Order: sequence, then structure tokens, then C-alpha cells
Amino acid sequence: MAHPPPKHRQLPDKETKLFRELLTQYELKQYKKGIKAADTILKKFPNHGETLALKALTLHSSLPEPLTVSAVPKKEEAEAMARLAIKKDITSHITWHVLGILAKSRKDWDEASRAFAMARKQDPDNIPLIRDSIALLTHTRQYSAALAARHHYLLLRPPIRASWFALVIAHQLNGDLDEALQVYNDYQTTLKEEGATGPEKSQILLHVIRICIEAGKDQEGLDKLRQGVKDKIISPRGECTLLKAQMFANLGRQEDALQTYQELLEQNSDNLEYYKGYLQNKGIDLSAELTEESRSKILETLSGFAESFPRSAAPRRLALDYSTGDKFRELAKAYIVKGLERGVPSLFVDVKGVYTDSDKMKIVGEIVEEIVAKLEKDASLSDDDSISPPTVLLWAYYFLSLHLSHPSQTTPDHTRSLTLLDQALEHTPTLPELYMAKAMVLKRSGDLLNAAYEMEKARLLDGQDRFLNGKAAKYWLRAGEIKKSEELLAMFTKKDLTPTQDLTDLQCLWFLQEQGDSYRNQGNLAMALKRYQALATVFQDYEDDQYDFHTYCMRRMTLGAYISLMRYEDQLRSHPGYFKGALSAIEIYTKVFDDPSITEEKISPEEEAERKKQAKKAQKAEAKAKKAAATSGEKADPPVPDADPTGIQLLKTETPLEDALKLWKPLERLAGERIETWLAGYEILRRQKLYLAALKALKTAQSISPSNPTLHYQILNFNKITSSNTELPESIKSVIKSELPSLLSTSPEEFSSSFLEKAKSPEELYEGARGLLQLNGSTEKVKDVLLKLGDKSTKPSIEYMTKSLDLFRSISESKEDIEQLRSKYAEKLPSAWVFKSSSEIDKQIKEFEKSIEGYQGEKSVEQSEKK
Amino acid sequence: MSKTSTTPTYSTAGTVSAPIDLSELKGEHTTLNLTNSSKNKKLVKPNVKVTLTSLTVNNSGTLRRINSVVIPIVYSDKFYKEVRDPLLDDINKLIYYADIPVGAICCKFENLAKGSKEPPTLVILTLAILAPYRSLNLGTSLILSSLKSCLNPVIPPPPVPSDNKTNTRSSLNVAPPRQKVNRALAHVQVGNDDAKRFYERLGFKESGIEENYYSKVEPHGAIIMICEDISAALGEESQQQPNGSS
Repeated sequence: MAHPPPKHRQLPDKETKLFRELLTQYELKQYKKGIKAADTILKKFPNHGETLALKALTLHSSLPEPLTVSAVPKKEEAEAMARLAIKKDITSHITWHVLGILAKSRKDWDEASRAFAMARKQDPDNIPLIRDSIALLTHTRQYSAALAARHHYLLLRPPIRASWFALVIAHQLNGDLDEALQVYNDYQTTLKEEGATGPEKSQILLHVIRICIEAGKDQEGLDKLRQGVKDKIISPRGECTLLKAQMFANLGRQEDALQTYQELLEQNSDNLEYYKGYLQNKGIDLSAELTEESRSKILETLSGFAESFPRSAAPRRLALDYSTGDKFRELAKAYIVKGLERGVPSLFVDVKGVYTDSDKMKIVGEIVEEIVAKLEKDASLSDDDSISPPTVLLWAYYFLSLHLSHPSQTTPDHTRSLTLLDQALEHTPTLPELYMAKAMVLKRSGDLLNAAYEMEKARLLDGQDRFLNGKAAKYWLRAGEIKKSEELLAMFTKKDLTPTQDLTDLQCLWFLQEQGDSYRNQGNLAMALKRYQALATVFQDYEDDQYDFHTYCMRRMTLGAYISLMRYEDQLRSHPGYFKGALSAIEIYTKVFDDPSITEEKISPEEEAERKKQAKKAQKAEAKAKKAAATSGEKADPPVPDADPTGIQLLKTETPLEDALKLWKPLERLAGERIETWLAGYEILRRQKLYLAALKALKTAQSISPSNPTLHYQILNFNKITSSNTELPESIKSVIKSELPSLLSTSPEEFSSSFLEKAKSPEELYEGARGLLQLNGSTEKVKDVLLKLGDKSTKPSIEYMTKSLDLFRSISESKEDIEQLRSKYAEKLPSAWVFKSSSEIDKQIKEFEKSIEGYQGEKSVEQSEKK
Repeated sequence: MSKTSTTPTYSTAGTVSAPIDLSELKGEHTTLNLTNSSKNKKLVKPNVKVTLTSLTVNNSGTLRRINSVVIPIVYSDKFYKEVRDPLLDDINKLIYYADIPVGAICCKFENLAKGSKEPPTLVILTLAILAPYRSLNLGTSLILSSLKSCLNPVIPPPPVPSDNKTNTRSSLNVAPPRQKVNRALAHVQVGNDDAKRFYERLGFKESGIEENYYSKVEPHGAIIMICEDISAALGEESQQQPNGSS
């Protein structure tokens, strides 16, 4: 350094030597020695900031991972020490660097990136500092700053290959594709001899071609690709062909594009995208409404492909999407018969894609009915003397039952579906799919408990099938049997952890969601919230895990994969799993805000006693463990226990709305096209009294789906709370006044009654009733609306019937009225056990237990297997 | 080096069989005279894959299901545990038709000990095929495969896994090698002529009646069907490989 260090940083020779030793000891991971050395220096110079910082770092690095109980205070000590070090020596790059490293290990990316920026200010040419800083800046998406740092880094180390390509990537991330290409070209022209390995070269070239496509320089990309193939840098198959096809298509060279897609199809004849690309380049616009002419053209092309790729199902399946009427019937029949004969279990799941078209759904139904009838009569589908394998009839029963009970049917026929499945089970009682289908149909008809028992039967057929095990556990959760489901799951999870802990570690999203739902349905909001928050944490982990790849991918030159990772992380929380979990958690938070008393635990004396017993047991076990540890001589240092095992602290939050908003924010950005996002947003914002933001949520929701039933309720709610609120500032009032008519064009009463007149679906009726309540409608009126849910003409919906019953219970004081509603619903859905009385349920459980007896057995064996 | 050659090593090769080709069944065992029975059988189109699988704890549920549907006798847990004896691993099998389990055979050995009066015998305990899958040669091929393996024991038989501690490759005990068994026995309920004919076609002969064999179902009597020479019934020379063409 040009300047001599400031006075307070200078150390006498002996201490300088010790300080250097301390540095090497840290790097060699000799933490104990390092701390000793630091202490020696600090004894003489307690105000030496850099030594303090290094001691903090050494102490921090010496802690075990995961953190144990005894390590927690040490960690705090290290953090405090690092902050103190800054105070003692604010112009040292070491103190800031250490602060940055500690923040990074806490995953506090923003603070870390600030600290690294400070450190770089003190020592701009420190290579490791720049490298860490680039990763942090990229991670926090400060692309222009990252680019500057990259540039600086390259100037310091120009001969390193990786830093050139890293600069290409930095330019690309910063959105400057031309500059990215320029850097690559410059690098290519300056360096003749390069040491990159074959795979690295091909990775880089393919990525540069991808940048060319993105920048719209398809011709340049094509030239590079040709040259690359010629020089044998890239293989002409696979991705290279796909890129070539894209570039031809972009350049409008249809002939060449068609040729290339043909090549692609010969490489893989099952990729639907290739077929679609081929058809697009034949001049057929698949996104627009298809004309008769283009339809026949598509089908002709596809049948040609079906002939040239006889083993591929893709062209035949695609043809079902693009054909109509009799042609569809013909194609669908051939497709279904082939699937049934081959015994494809997923045939229905495959075919049901066409059910968005109700005519096609009807035709499929007729085809399968025909097949079943013919097989029952002749045991054969062909006209010669041969017979079909008996499994064809079996799979046809299976298909038909799934078809009949599918939710897109106007009136799903659960009874016939179950009869068919029973017939199939009589035919072959060893096929787990049949029990699973039965469970699913029962679930749809509302009989969750019976469904769980059927799923259990499927599971008992094959104890080593984890899919069946997971399904059975899920069905038990739906039926409210949390303990039973955990017992099942434990058969496949780690033996030394609880199943919940293991599945949380494994980031099992469905489990977290389902168990949360199960707890919520039982009224245990604390545990439900804990699971939903665990689900949100999984996504935070995904995001944090990305950090290591900023340096790793540059080193491995996997540029294409790196860019797609970055793009994936940017839209991470649009994942349906996050969407569902976040909405469920937000609902609980808004409930807590409305009525904080629900966070108080209501436990009966028996439960209280039970809990005390449990606590005593735990205490005893702990004492025992301590004793055992003491005798064995090892120090017991367990990992830090869960501070909030029941989730009650989560639920008792002081700031429910802020917590909810934190979950909602990513949805606003990433799931803005889903109306549920805005409906949930409204519920948070109106409670926060952010009326203009709430208004915006309503307006966005309206632009997505103006006839949404929940939106109807929310408009009435918004009108009510804003018109009755006298404390609103004038400016806000005037905005609402000018904007509200676009949502509510008539008087609220008229708005509600015209909605209710047209209301048909269960959801509309339920939300209409809630809207009525906003207008202070009488209980009687609400009841009339809710009763309609049980009418014959209304589509049955367990979800809304349950909600309606809950709603009515909360407003009505008349037990008779409630009973009237319940019995009407029970009549409408005779097998839905939520509308049944508890004695009926108990009786049924006993019957189910009996029916399953024949399937069980060798329980002892199963359990010993568990160990 | 010598260790590996003397101690037999464990392989899972026999756990799931290669597909059985039913259409070739006739040609392979001409002596069984299957043509007689397949005259009134229709050709199955398209051809279906048929495979065998060993019995395990985990597919025990499936085996129970098949037996309980086909056979009017309820078998005990002990029965199901015994048929999973590693010694019987290549004999007792589930049969899969188009990947669906549709039948099973359960046997045990008798008189294996040296010095017993009668020759070692394979006793067929249950042979069950679900109703819709009968007359497809499944039962025949299932029993033939069992007879074949009982004549040509696989070397070595799979090791015995322990029930109460974790199983590692080294902790497994290797089961003793099995001797050849050339005699088979089956019980057929009195009056069940179809079953009797079925065994007769396979080379079994009636050799007496055991009264009160079935305690819970009527009639109680059982015909004892015995095949004295399996290798003759299979048409195999005693030294021949099981897959060798005749």
C-alpha cells in the first residue's frame, strides 16, 4: 500500500508476527490456536480492531453445524465482537470483510453486500473480496454494480479465461446482450490458443448462440453454430438441432426449419414441442382459432408422423386435440383401445386433457361404454376368433368409472362409478389402482373416511410402494387422522427423526400443505400456521441455496444452466405450492387480526392433565439422557431445539397483517394474473386501512374476472367500510368516490339482488349470502339463499356447503334453522360425512375397521420392518 | 480369491423372472400334450407379458388377497411366513399377467432329511389363479416353473434376512444348498374333477384318498395326486439344463 497504515493499526514486530500467524491458523482451520494468538495480541492492544475482527471470525468458524445449545452464546459473542471491531477501526478492510462474512453466514444478503462494498472501498484491489462481492451483488440482483465489479476483476486478472466469460454473463444479466457478444468476440479474436476442455467449449458456444437468439441476431448465431459443428466443438444432435430450428424459424426460412424439426423428431419422436414447432413452420398458427382447412392439414401431417413413428404415442395423442366430431371419434377410439390393450394405467389421465371440450368428453364416454358392452358380451374387441386379454375389460371398467366421476361432468355419477369399480374389484382384486380410484371417487362424493380406508387397502397390497404409502397418509390427513398418517409415513422416513421433521427437511411440499390443512380443519390454527410457514421457508431455502452457484457455475463454465437457474429463481414464488400455502397462511393471519382471542388456547382439564403428564415424561427422559451422557463421559451438547414446537408463538404474533403482507408481496409480483392473489390482497389491505391499495386490488381483480363471486362480496364490503368511515381524509374520499362507480354501478341493494337472481353455482350462492350480510340482510333471507345450495339443480359442492354451514352457525341463534340447513345438505350429499352426526360417524368407522380386517395381517412383521 | 469361488455370493437375479412366453409353452414341453387342452382355447390378441415374482413381506398382502378370493380356506399368518422361506424362493411365486398379479403358487418340502422313509417330495399347498384369468395356460406355466426349479435348484439360494436387526450384505446368513427333488404331491378335494384332470395332464396320478383332510369345507376328503418322476413329466433328461431345447 502506498500510504502507511494509520497509527492505531500499527503493531510492534512481535505482535505483527503473531497477527500473521493468526491469519494462517484461520486459513488452516486451527481455530483454537488462532483464538489463543488473538487473545495474546488483545492483552496488550485491546483496541486493535483487525485482531478483534479476526478473533470474531475464528470464533464463529469454530462453531458446530448445525448449531448446538452451548454454541448459541458464542455465536452472539462473535457477532458482537465483529461489530465492536468496526467501531475500533472503521477504515480497515478486514473489519468490514469479517462483518460481511458473518452477515453472509446469517443469510442476511443485503447487510453482507453493504459490508463488502465498504470493505472494497478500503481495499479496492483485493481479489477474494471482489469475488465474494460479485456473488453477493448478483444474488441481490444489483446487476450493474456486479458488472462494474466484474470489469474491475478482469482488469486485475486479464489472463484468466473464466473472468472473460463471467463478464459475458454479467453483461447478459445486466440486459446488454450486444455488449455480451462483443466481449465474447473480442476474446475469441485476441486469444488463439485456449486451454478450455471440450465440454467447456461446447457449453460456452451453445450459450453464446442462445444469446444471439435472444438479441435477435439469428444469422450470426447460425454462422457460429455452423462453424462450431464444422470445428467439432459442438455435437450436431440434441440442443444444437433445436437451436438451429429456432433460428431458421425466426429468420423465416420455413423450408430449412421444417427440415430441422424433422431431424429433431427423428431424434425424439415423443416431444410434443417438436411437433408443434413443425406445424407452426408449416404455416399453421396454433394459437389462433383453427379453420377447417388447417385442421385437416394438421391431422394429415400427424397421421404421416404416426406412420413413420409407429411406437410413439405423441402424434396420435396430439391428433385428438386438433380433431373434432366423427374424425375425433374414430381417432379417439383407436387411441383408447390401444391404451386399454396395452394396459396403460395412466390412459385416463392422458385422455382427460380433451375434457375442456364437453362434446369430446361425451364422445369419449360413449366410446368406452361401447367397449365395455362389447367385452362383456364377446370377451373380444376384434372380429376374428381371438379373444382380448381379460385385463382389457378391467382397464375399461377403470377408465369408465374415472370418466363418470370426473369433476368436469355436469353431474358426476359417483354411484355408477363405484358400482363399476366394485365390478372391477370382483374381476381382479389385486390391482391397487382400483382401490385408489375407489378412494378418489369416495373423496369426491364427500366420504373422506371411507376413502381413507379404501386407500389403506391399496397400501396393504404392496407395503414397499412409497407412492401408495404417501397417498394413504394423505387420505388419512384429509380424514383428520393426523397420528395415523404419521405412523404410515414413518415407515419410509429416517428412523432417528420424527416423520414430520424428516419430511420438512426433505422439503416435502404436499405433506406440509396437507398437514397444515388437516390441523386447520381441526381448529388447531397454531400448528396449521407453523406448517404453512415451514412451506414458505422451503422457498426461502431454495432462494438462499442459489448463492453458491454464482461462483460455482462460473468455475464450471455451465453458463446456460446458470442463466436458466437465475431466471427460475426470479419467478420462484409463482410455484403453485407457494401460492396455496401462502394463501392459507394469509387467511389465518386475517382471522387472528379480526379476533385475537383465537390465539388463546382452549384446552379442557383432561388435555391439561395429559399435557402435564407429557411434560413430566419429557423431563424424566431428559434427566435420564443427561445421566447417561455423564456416565459415558461425553459432553451432552444437543442441537438447538425448536423454540416453538406448537406454533403458538407464530400465531400470537403482534403484527398479523405485516406477516401476511410479507407472504403476499411475492404473489403480487409473480402471480398477478391469478385473481386469488388480489382477493387475498384485498383482505389484508382493507384491514390495514390502506383503502386506496385495497381499491386497486379490487380493480385488478375486476379486470381479471368481473363476475367472480368473492369479488362481489368484497365490493359490497368495501362500500360498507368506506361509506361508514368518517375519519377518511378528503383526498382519499374523493378518489374512492370517483373510482367506486366502475366497480359498483348501481345501488348496493340492487347490485346484490341482481347478483343473487343469477346465482347458480354453490360459490355464487355462498358469496351472495355473505354480500347480503354486508347490507345487514336478515338471517331469514340469508338462510333462504344458503338453502339453495342443497337444491337439486345446484351442483353439489362440499367445500361451499361446509363454509355455508359455518357461516350460518356464526350468525343464527336458532338451532332449528341450523339443523334444517344441515339436514338439507346431508340429504343432497348422503355420503358426505361432514354433515353427519358424530354417532353416525362412529358407527361407520366400526364398519370400515371390520371391512379392512381381511387385508391386514402380519402387523408384527411390518412393525419390525420399521425398526 | 479362493474365498469368492467357494462361498456362493448373493444375487437378486431370481427375484423377478424374465417374461414367460406363453405361445411357446406348447413347443417346449411337447410331452405334456398341451395341444389337447388348447384346442378349445382361443388365441389371445395382442400378446401379453407374463412374469413371476418372489414372495416377500411386502407383497404378502397381494398373496393373501388372491388366496382369500380363490380358495375357501383361511390360512394363518404362520402359513404366509413359512411360504416365504428362502429355501422355497424359486418355487413359491406370484404370477403377473400384463403386470397385474393374478395368481400364486405356494409349496413346501417334505422328507428332505436324510434317512426318511419316503423320497423327498414337493407338496403343493395352494395354486390359485383369479377366475377371469383361467384357461390362459397361467396355472400350467406356474406349476411347471415350480417343478422345474425344484428339479434344478438355483445355486446358491438367497440368504436369510434377519427379522430383528439391520441387514447388511455381510451379515446375511447363506442358506444351505438344496438337493434335487424329483417327486411332487398335491391334494385335490373330492369331486373337483377339473382340478384332478389338470394335475393328470401334468403327469400326476391318483394314489389314494385322505379322509378328513379339509376340516372346515365340505366334502372333507382329498384325493392325493402324486407325480413320482418330475423329470420324466417335464420331458427332461436329468442332466439337461432347464432352458435347453429338446
